[in-house]
Amino acid sequence: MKKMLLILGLCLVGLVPLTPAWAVTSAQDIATTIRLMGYECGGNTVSQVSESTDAKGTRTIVATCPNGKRYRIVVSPEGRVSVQPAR
Amino acid sequence: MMSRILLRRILPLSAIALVLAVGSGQCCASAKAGNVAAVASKDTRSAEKPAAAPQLDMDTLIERLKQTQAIGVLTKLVLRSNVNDLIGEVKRYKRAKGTPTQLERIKAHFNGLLLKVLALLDEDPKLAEDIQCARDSLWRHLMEVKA
Repeated sequence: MKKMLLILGLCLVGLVPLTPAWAVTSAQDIATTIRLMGYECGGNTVSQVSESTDAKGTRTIVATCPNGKRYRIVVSPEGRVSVQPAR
Repeated sequence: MMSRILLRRILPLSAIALVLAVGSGQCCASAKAGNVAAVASKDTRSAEKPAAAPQLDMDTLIERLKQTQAIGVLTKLVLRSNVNDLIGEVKRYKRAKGTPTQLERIKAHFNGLLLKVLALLDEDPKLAEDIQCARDSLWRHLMEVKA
């Protein structure tokens, strides 16, 4: 019993500082990126997110904004981010 | 009985966690004095050398910006690219010994970028406040970039 409580306590200690209630979600992060690059999104979050990485390490994310527009976010291996409207 | 055990065992641990979480942020009560004080509280030796203080404070701010969960990873990458572009602009300005108009344009870009960061830090007001306090130091730091 004591052991279980100790584990529960340690879990709580681990969880409290790591996941604050206001931490941004991946969908919010993508929406912010789209808006930061000057595209309209119509909200703070995206849906229908699909992600892929090619052999060179280029990451491509395709997501749909609340306004219905779909965007392609490309992250180069050097960490450069570009956003293009997807068809 | 159970609740007493919980109180005895978990509460102190949670309290420590909360103190650690709160303690990780530094206070910036008043613009420049607050920055120096925050650095002095971390390293007493730096208080004896005021010239070294802004550099240390900058590193702390950058580290806190990297660690904050109010900004997502992708957004941080965009901001990093923007900062790198700004540094490139300063380097070009210094190499070409640019005009005051060009410097004004760089300052406008800097202000715009800072505004973006502050807007993104809506959920981390402590860090936003500290960055706002360090505005002048950040600008000086940017201007110290070698061509």
